Amino acid sequence: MKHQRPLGEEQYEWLKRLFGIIAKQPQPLIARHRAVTLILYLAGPTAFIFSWVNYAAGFVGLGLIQLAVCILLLLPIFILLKHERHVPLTEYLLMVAAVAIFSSLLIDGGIADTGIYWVCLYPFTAFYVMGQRRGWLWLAVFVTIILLAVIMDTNHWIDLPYSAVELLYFSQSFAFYTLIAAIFNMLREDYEDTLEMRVIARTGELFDSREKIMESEQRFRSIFENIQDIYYLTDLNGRIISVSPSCEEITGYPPEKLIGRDIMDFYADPGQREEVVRLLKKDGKVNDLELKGVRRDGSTAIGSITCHFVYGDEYRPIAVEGMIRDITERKQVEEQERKHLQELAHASRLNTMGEMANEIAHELNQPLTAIRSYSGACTHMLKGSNWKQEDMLEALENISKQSERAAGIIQQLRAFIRKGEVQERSSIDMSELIREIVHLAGAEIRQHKVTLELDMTENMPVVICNRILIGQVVLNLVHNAIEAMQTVAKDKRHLLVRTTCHENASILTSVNDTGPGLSDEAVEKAFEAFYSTKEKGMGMGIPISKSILEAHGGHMWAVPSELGGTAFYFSLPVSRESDLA
Amino acid sequence: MILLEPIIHIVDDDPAIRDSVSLLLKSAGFESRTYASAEDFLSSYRASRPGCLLLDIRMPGMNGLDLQEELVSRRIHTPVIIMTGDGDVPAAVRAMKAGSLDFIEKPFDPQFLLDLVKVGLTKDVKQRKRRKKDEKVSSRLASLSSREREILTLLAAGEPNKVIARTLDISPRTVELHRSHIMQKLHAQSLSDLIRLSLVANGEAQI
Repeated sequence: MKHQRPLGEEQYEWLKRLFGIIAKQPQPLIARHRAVTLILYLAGPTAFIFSWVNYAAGFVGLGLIQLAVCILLLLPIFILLKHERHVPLTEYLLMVAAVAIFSSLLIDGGIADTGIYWVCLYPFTAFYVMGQRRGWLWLAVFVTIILLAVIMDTNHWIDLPYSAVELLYFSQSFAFYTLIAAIFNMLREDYEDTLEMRVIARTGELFDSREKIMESEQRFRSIFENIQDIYYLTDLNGRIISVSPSCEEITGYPPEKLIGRDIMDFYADPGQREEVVRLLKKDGKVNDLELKGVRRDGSTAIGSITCHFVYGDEYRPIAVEGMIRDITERKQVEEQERKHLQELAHASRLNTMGEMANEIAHELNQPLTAIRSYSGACTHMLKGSNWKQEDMLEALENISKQSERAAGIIQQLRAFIRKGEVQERSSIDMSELIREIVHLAGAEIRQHKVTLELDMTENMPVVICNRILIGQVVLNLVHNAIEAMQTVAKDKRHLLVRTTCHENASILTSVNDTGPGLSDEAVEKAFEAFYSTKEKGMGMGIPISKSILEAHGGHMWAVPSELGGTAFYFSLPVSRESDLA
Repeated sequence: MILLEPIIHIVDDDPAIRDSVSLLLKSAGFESRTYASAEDFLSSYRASRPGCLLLDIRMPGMNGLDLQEELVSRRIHTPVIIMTGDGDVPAAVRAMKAGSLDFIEKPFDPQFLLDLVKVGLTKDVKQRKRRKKDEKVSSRLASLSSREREILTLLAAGEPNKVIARTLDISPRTVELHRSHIMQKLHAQSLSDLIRLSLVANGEAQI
């Protein structure tokens, strides 16, 4: 965020920083420790060596002072630095040592000689070790000592071998280096601050993300532990690496009994395992595949498995991870519902057949009558003498044909009323099935003087369904349509059955009549159980048909027909290749 | 009177029934003709030959009962035998009321059908003879004068000549004369013949 500041304020602030007027956060101990150590390691050996050099060069006093400082101050610092808490003390000790060594250079005319270079290290040391603000204080201490020495020299209490000019030069140099040191240290601190800020920011981020990771890890753990389904992880050979605690409730095995075992041991049908492996290899994943597993007590459980490969480097699968949902109960309920539907459908079929009994009897009577007549004719011919062999042969052949016709009707009937299993499915051409069923209802259609029109789409894709049940739906709709047209004039009874293929995905069948039509309310009611417009009707036909269709993944609905009456529609999904497999 | 060979008409929409029944009739020595619908029959039927009609109730288009009623309205008196696939009582009642000869249920006994056909044919032959006779009688009755018809009515009522003469205000002798004329015109042999014929004339009896 930038503020508009008065001109010059920035420079003013810069000056304040330069002179350490702005109070700064104290450096962390670790940084201060580092600074003291650095200075100690540079200054310690140097001071020690120079104490000897000075001593040898004849500056005995200087050499001794420096040696004393080394032993009395620098050595303790060296020891004290081992504990971080002593860092502030070592800073003072170090500064005292520095003041002592550098001020001792005054003796023997050192600062008018090479000593001047050494003394100029003092401001750097002071700022570096004590920071910008306290650095100035320690400079003041040093300057004070030097000033005292100069004053004492002026008053001849002590004798320093310097001329006034030499002292002036020294003062200039010292002031210059002090300024350089102050600026340098300020920039250094600034730089370190930025660095530190970055480190702090980065550390913060790291902390944040670590927290997030921990949070998500915790969440995952919570899910893992409380999940209803089984989560599992296996290696590529099917050895279980990890499994959620939920496995105990579903399989009876606690997780620790499962880990390390082959997942194969828990398949009821080894073929299903192969299927899972095949799909994994093909697609890298398996979605909602139903399979049977064995529980600890030996009972069978039905599970729905969803799993996928876990990929390592170079996108090579290294493990398999998945979820297994226990759908045993759901399957049982479904099974029961299916049985229920089956029974209802059977009852309804018998009922429909009951309603059609007269028609069926008539249909059967036709061939029987023909047979009796032919056989009567044969008897007569044989009793007499005037008969031709070809007449006799033809009659006998016709008897055979007519008995076949009767048998066909009975077979069709029996196929229709037998108790079929709902699961029995086969691929069916809808148009063909409709022709068959319409034939079964032929007698009724003729009896009621209904004209029938079949608008069949040929060569449609097949649907996988239960022949009897879907046949029942068609018969039911045809039967209802005929009954609905009882009240209209005989020459206006028209029945249209149509099949179409919708987008290659579903087969649509409609049964249209020219009856009085149903109101919206009546249509709605027609789909309710025990509602019937007929006296004899059970009112179960439509609801059962609807259930049958839904069991096949289809739908059923009714709309006003283009012919003026009602049109009942139903759709069935076109089977994919895999459905029969 | 020349009697033509009788013929049996079979009307049924099922070709197997038509074929088998016609073969059955053929084996029993009857000639038959088949029709696939009531309409076919109506358009090609000729009343010239005696015969009888085997009629299926259930047919697309005009059904058996409709056809039977149509025949009555057209004054076609060929005996009708109704064939039905189920024991539909209301249909049977309707058929019998419309004057069908009988009502048989499929699948019927062939012999029973043949017997029934024979009855039907006999009936038709008789009917035809009677109708001829009727026609004669009515033409004779038509030749009577109005006075003679009055006298015939009174004679049929069993009135003696004297009473008739008094009623009509004529002499008994004249009544006697009219009576002999009537006997002559109607080819009556006796009084009882005369009475029977008069009943026919009044539509109260058949010959």
